[in-house]
Amino acid sequence: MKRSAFFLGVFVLAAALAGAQDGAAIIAASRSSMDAQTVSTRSRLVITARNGSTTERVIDQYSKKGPQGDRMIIQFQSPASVRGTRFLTMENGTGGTDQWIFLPSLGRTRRIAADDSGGNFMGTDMSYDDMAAASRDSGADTHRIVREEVYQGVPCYVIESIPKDGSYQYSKTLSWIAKENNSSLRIEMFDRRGAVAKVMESSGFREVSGRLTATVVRISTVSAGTSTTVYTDIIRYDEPIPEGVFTLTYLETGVPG
Amino acid sequence: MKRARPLLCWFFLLASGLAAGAQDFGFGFGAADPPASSGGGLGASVGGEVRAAVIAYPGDFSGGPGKVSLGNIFSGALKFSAGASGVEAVIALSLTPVFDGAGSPVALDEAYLRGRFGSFTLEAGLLTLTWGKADSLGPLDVINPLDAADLTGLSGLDDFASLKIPRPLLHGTYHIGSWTKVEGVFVPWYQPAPLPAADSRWFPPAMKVMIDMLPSNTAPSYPGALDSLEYAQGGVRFTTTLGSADLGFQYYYGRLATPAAILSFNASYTLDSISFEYNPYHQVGLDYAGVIAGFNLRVEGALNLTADLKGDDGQVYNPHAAWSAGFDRTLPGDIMLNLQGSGTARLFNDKLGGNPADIEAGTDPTATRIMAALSRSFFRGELEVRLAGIYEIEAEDFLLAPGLTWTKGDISLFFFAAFFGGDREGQFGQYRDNHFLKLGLRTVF
Repeated sequence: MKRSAFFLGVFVLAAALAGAQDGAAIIAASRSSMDAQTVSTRSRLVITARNGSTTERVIDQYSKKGPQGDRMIIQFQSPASVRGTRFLTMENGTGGTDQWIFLPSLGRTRRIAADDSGGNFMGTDMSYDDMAAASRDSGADTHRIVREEVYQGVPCYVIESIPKDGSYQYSKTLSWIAKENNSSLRIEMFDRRGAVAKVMESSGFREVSGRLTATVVRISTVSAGTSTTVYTDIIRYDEPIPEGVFTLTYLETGVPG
Repeated sequence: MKRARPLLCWFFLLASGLAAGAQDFGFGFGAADPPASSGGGLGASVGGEVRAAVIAYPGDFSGGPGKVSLGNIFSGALKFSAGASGVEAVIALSLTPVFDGAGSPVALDEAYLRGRFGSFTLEAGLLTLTWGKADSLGPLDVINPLDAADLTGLSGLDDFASLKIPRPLLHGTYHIGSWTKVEGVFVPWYQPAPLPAADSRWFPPAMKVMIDMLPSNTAPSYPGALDSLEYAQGGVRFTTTLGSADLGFQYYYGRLATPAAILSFNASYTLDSISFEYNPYHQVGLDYAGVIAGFNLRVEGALNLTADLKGDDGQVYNPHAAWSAGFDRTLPGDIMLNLQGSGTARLFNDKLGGNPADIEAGTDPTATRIMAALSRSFFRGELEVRLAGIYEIEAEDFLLAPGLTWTKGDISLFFFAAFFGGDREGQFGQYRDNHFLKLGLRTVF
């Protein structure tokens, strides 16, 4: 009995310690749970207009950590009008990012500026910042737990994150993080006037290579009444990606250099 | 269609032969729509474009319906490709309707074979290449001439690449590491950009004046045997990335696209004959692309050395420098600005004064062209509105081109207009009576 009481006490203490975690630790744990050396995905992007009409795009994305930072290449599979378009972005180790785009219709690669991180990505509801949000350095924001609540039947921490860099696209975000496994279920992103600009909702969780992964992510732009739903049909973690993928050779030819 | 059938047979025979060499890169998910396999691991796919468009010249409407033609309405393209790792074969055809049984409805656009041997890639066949970094009309993009025989082929001033004429060539690329490559190209013969038919509204008026001056039984003479090695061209290009700068260097030996019109007069000082020559030249050029303060910069410079190294040969163009510099930048309101300047500067211009018969006598020593485009997308990229223009400073003429494109999935509705103005002796001003409107639907598959 004493022994049972001891274990019960340990569990209660552990639960209390977990509850006492600060917001920064929870956000860091949530993001690090998805950490991988490489990530390869094929996704369908269903873009829904205010009137309910939809258009669809299929993209492949390959990302890999490198000595100077993250590298990512996106290639469009459909529709046919953009098939073969490839986009390469590389952190250059000096705090900046180099970006190139290959347009098959022009038959050549163009270097492009990387300062438009708040702009929408290829007509979707996602900005470049949104796409990088999952790997955003948790130290870039100040976090605090504002409440605990049950979201869609899952007990969650609701954490407010305020960017330290005032030029960031959003003035703050609210994240619903599952207590059970640190999964991010919902994020509300606020504009500079303090209104909710976008809502990101994750669902369809399944375990892939030991990581609980959302396979359906819906991003809604509140004021526009539009949304983009990302269905991740294929996802692979830590699968080898040749270094030659993150080169201009691959961008131009589709063959690792 | 008669021409198409043997081409397709040749293509699939070729594809079958390539199958044995097929390998897998072992990376990536492959195509979302897997190509149909023709066996042996070789994938074959068909793509293309269908376009329905009407073209109207506002100037024709004053002549009544009998003077108005809305063009061919339909045009299309088919692209057959087959390949696997290390090898690819492509045949691209353009399709246009034929009236009165004249010509063929099918024309060969591109047909080439590409083989990869480790770091070396070889392409051979009929194809287009892009050299240099300018958005369009850059001085280093010398391999494929532009088909300006009918400017209604444009769907926007960012569409000059679609006017490129494929050329038969051998093109080798050797990759040195991940960010550096050396290219070599050999073009075994020369074919100038086609002239519009003499009765076409796009036939250059200045040339028409010259030809009208010829005696009635005399025609201009053009150089023969352009397919001989005498007219072979070639070059090498080196490109690399250093830090945040993309750099290029190239040498090219070729023929100037603008013919030298050599006039001869008889004893009574009336025009006796006109002959056209395409002067050979050596080009040495450099280019740069980088991002500075949010501006996407692209710069090219070239020295084009003709045989007239002293500038005193009246039948050969003088050497000249050529340049291009431009950028694009997102402005407030999500408006995209693309601004580009380009031009040429004649060397040894002072030598022209002593020879009034010099083919360049009386012409400006410099030619400067400013191209600007403003565009904005609405409805998350479905609608793009664009206003573009080109102004030639010395010639004082211009082309103004508004347009819009509505894209929904795989289908686009587009409108494009071109208004020519300025001095009638300028490249655009000469077409002041050829303003046109183009409205159409386009889909790719």
